[in-house]
Amino acid sequence: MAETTEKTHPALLGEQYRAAVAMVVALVVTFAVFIGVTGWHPSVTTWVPSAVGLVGLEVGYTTYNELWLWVRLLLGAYITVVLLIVTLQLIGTWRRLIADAGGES
Amino acid sequence: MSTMTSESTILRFNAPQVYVHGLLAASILLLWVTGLPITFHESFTWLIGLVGYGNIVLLHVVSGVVLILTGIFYGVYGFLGWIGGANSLKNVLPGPSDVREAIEHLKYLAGRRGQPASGKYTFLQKAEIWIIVFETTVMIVTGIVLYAGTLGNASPAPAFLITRDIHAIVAVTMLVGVTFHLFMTHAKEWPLDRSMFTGKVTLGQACEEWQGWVETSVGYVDVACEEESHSTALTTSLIVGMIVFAVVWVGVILEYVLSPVPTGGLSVAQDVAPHALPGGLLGSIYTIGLNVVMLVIFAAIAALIYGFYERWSVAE
Repeated sequence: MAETTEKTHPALLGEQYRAAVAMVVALVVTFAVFIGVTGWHPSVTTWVPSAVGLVGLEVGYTTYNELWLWVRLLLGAYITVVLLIVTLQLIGTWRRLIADAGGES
Repeated sequence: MSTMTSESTILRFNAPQVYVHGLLAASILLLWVTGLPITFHESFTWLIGLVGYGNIVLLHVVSGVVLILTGIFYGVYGFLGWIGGANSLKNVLPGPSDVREAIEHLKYLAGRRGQPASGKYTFLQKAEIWIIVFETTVMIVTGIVLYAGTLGNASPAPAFLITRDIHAIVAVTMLVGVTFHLFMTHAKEWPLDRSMFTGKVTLGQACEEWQGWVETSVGYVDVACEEESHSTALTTSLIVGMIVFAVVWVGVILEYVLSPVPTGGLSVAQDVAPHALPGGLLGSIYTIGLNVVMLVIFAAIAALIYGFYERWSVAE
């Protein structure tokens, strides 16, 4: 079986060196993040399981819900994009496998 | 070129790309295996009883660290390639040609033209890649905040609760997207498309899907493109799988996104996870759906192991 490789522009850094440098940087940064996070505790408010739930809020409950509304809007936009991509892929796959092939084989 | 046939192979992914993709897949799959019981405690009492809640949380954190590692690797590897003149990052960057391809693709879907020729990745594959980049970034950032929050003894702040819900919503949405990816990219050729493990594709397969890439990378080749055959079993399982995911996904969206305030629960660190699902018949449907999802994830892990076993056994 013949085999070929993709034509590429000659890279300044060889594949193996790129991979090695990337792995070293990844290990160092990940370790730094892990150590940094482990040593950092965010200040949190006290939880009381009451009808209100949270006490000691630094922001008003209305402000808090408005913030959450914006978060929901952004998440809704993101989910819409994902669904659009998935739908286009599904229709494209159906067309290639079924419509173009002239039906079930 | 005259010796090339549709069975001739072309290198699509080099060894680092194959292994890091495998590591990324393993970490994400393990994050779901552990993250689903943390979020939907009631549906996975069997898994929590089998492994132990503490071990599940620990494995979740370890998998998260591996995800961070692979994410940074991809970023640095792509950046070094970009400044060094390699094509790896250039191949996935969106450009004007993708807009043209998108328009041609819509015409194709409407039956007004043939399938458009694309580069190494189609515009939909590029979109999928960048969505996964966005999702893993959000998961890493929110995961770090959640991990840091669980280290203290105090109860969570409101921002912590919002972060937890974003983490869960993006994870579940990502699960839907990646499941489509698994079906359409890896399980399309039953039982498994091996190109992501061998790094190679046949010219016949490549010219069917990425004609532009074949022409620019190896020059014009006069080979017959492979016709993809339609498998009733695969198509049926695709549809059934997607329906199950849709049910679970809609349930989670209703529970999380449409809830007037962030969902209940004291802390992700507590032994009993928050009640994220409703009770009754609907809750039972979600529980069945979530456990089917878990089986799909286990199947993907098995496929991952099988793919690398094949790669190594062939290499030997």
